[in-house]
Amino acid sequence: MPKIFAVIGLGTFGSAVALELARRGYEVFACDRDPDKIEELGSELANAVELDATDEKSLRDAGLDEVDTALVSFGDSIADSLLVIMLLKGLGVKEVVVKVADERHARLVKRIGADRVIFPERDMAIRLVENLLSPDIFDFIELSEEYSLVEIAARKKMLGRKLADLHLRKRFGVNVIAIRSKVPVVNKKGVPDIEEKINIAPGAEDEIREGDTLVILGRDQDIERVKKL
Amino acid sequence: MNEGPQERFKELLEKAEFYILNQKYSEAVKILKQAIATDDESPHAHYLYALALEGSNEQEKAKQHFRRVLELDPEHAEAKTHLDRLIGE
Repeated sequence: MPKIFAVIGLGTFGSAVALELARRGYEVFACDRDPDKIEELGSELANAVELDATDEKSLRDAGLDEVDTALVSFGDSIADSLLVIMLLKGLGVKEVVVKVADERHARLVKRIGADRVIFPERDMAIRLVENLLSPDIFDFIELSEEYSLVEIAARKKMLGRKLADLHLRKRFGVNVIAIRSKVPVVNKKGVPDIEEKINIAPGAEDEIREGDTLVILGRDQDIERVKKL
Repeated sequence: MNEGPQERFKELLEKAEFYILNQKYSEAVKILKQAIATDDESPHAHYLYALALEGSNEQEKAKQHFRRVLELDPEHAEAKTHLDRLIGE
């Protein structure tokens, strides 16, 4: 059975998550206490419900007890988000994901029973700084204190060489887990264009070409050495 | 432009398209610099230049030239798509 989702709190982040889930064909309960937000999203979401999520009966009446995963995305009130997490867990929601605003909020929701805590502003800030400081780092995800996943433009020295010949694992201890390539095409109008293709788990014989972006997994200090190539 | 420079300009664009379609983006960049020095008002030349820059992972410069395409031809669909994608990245 496909998973059923709920998004509680339809601010910018919550509504974007709800719309994307719906776009991908999932059933989503989208809830907010603000009737304007429900009206705004009602045409795009089949189950947009105006409700006060701090009221257990309202949650149950809206069918939230059938939900597998719920995102709690309140910007303003920590107290409300804590109460809603407890109610959702009480209703039997298997996974409760909570968007938090700061470290204190994160600590509290973890204690209360959130299954997953997300910190979009902080994560995005770290990624942005990384990108501003190194323009050829296109994306960055910190996996732990030591390990990261980065997208890095192929270095000039790598072009025209096979992955195996670069010995990135042996020399730097990093793994290339995907290559994003800019492949030339001629579009329907007969105009040259570029399409992006992604090669997941590239093979040793795959060649690095101009415009390629390598998705590298490794220790931060080792990734730094690759960047200097 | 008289006949000579026009022919030369056309030749440069054809050459640049050849390099782009063979994924030799930095070669195309070199050719297109010359083309734009000859005619800075051609949306197609700026489009190809932006495309070659994007292919060479020079995103900032690519954005400038996609913007220039849209100044010259506000309805240029490909330039719009690329610029939106680059700004969103």
